[in-house]
Amino acid sequence: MTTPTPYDILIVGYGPAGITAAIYAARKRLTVALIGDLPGGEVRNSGDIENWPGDQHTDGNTLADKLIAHLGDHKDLVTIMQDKVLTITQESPTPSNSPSGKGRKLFITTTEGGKTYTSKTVIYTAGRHPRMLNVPGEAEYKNLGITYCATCDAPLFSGMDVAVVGGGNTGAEAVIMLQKIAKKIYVLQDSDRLIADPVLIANFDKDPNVTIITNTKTTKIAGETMVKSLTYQDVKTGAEHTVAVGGIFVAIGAIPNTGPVKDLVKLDRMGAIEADRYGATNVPGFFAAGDVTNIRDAQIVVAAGQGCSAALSAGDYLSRQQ
Amino acid sequence: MSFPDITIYTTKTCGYCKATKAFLTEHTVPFTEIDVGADQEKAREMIEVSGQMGVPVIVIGDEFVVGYDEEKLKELLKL
Repeated sequence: MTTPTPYDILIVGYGPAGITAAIYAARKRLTVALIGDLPGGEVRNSGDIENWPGDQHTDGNTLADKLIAHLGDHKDLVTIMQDKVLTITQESPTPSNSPSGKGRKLFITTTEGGKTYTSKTVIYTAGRHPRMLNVPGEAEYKNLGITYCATCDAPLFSGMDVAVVGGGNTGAEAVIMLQKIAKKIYVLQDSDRLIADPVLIANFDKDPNVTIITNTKTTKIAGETMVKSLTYQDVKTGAEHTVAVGGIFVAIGAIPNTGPVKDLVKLDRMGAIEADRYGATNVPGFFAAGDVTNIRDAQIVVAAGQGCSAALSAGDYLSRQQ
Repeated sequence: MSFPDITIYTTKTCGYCKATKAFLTEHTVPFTEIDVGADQEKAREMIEVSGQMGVPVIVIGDEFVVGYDEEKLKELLKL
């Protein structure tokens, strides 16, 4: 049995960061394996997008399709695997007579699909997943009225009273989507004001069907077959209030998807990968980009830019190893 | 290849729905799409069939899959 030639770069993540990294890597004539589960990444679940330069107005699905079509120009060098990564480890240094180079440690990636890949470098762009409320009733009523993807599920709540938990940009976008669909919308915020961009809040802060409630802490979700109510505590007075709602949209931030690499690479306090502005981490040859890193701004254009930097860094690293 | 009757419940904006449809099309699997955002009656039908409110729901003969799950689809469709 012959050992397959290691890829120059293995990219984890099929979103804007990973796709941009793959395009830049291919333009450097490097071989790339890209592993991801949702083609286009979480962008697919964004609704309207009006801050991607060059497209005054687009939406998540359209942008995802365009990114994938662009990547398609490089299919001679980029192999795409629709799969989920389980682990990434590093092998022992190679002997000096190894064809992969003296002292180089290859990365070994295993997947849910039972595959194993070796690569000289890794660019990790696995993104984030929505944070849960961790209150009684949440697990029980997930998909029974509780959703973490307004873009996906909002149309199912037509004519209902609903709550949006979280007043950041994701929450505000959920409210805007629901304004055309739901009857009454409660927006629950933990601090004393919504933190979304003013341009978003302006869409609903005067809407009589939208009630903004600040200084709240969600404490319980209850229902029968489906969600019937949400209980929150007024953190100033300590009093508990219950609102009757048939839908709850949770938008309280996201957690980096670092499971496969948490023992390999240094994470920060929040569980994000510590990457410098060139995408380098504490592990030589392991680069990271996009929302999985300790980036302040989880934006599509930032993720794409970081993907570019990480690919150029990986290319530079590889050329120094020749 | 012949397939059982396949119905996919979707919303217009859902990325996972689009990815699921692309997967079926790529494997030349015929399906009927129902937009539950546009049809309340059908939305209730989907909740009854699957016991939950998330999209997509893919009904394959007597079985159903919730969400974009290639492995499960491959298994049920014998791809």
